Amino acid sequence: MIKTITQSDLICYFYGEIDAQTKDYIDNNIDFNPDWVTLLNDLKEIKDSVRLEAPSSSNIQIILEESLLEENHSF
Amino acid sequence: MTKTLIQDGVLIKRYLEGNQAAFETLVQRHKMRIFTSVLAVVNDHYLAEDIFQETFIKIIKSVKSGKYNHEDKFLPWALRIARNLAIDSIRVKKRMPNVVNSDGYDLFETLNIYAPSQEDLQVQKEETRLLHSWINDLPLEQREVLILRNYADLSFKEIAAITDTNINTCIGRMHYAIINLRKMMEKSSVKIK
Repeated sequence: MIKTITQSDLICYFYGEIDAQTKDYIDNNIDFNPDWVTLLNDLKEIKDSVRLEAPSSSNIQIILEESLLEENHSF
Repeated sequence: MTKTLIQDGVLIKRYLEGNQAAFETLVQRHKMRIFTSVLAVVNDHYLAEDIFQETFIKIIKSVKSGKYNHEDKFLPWALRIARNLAIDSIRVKKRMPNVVNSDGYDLFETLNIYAPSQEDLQVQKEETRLLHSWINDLPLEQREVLILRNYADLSFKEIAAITDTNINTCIGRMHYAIINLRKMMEKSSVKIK
């Protein structure tokens, strides 16, 4: 059976949000579709470049102090 | 032995019972995802710090007043608050005139308070730096989906809920983000990997 795979399907496949049937189809046919591989490689490249940034420790301290304030307490 | 994480809902419950450490755990667990997501929207480190703080103050007030009823969906809920504050701040910023010096430079840009150190710059790989600058140049809607999916690790369904859209719109935006990044790459004549 030939199934039409859209770019959206490939994006969902990459992020593990695809149904099992479509996933199997992509797994079995990926070798014959270099354009699929290109898109998946682009997505991987972006994911690999992820660099999470942290707020300053002084900011965290202010938040924690705020969380202790009596005026914020309901108990 | 596998260490099991205490669920967010449990941490909030313990915080409400007076356990301050539970709240700290919650902040430490999610601070980077929330902060990075805010930074992706406002593209300004200084402003992102303010919004991050404001987000948690709102969270504290909501939790304490008993308005939190999202069980273990803390992160999507927190990200929605952060996103709304970030979008509001962008609207305000657009209405504010830039403070320009005699040479025509934006003074706040010139001050560059949060510029990365020389050491940081050396550590950053050039390829990644380029990709990040291209991501920053994406339209907000596309940048937001890309960041929330990759950085905050939210599903498209969760992103749709946060951004008041639907799953297909989110996936479409991700697709356009990829297309635009490819175009930027070609335009700069730099090939990554």
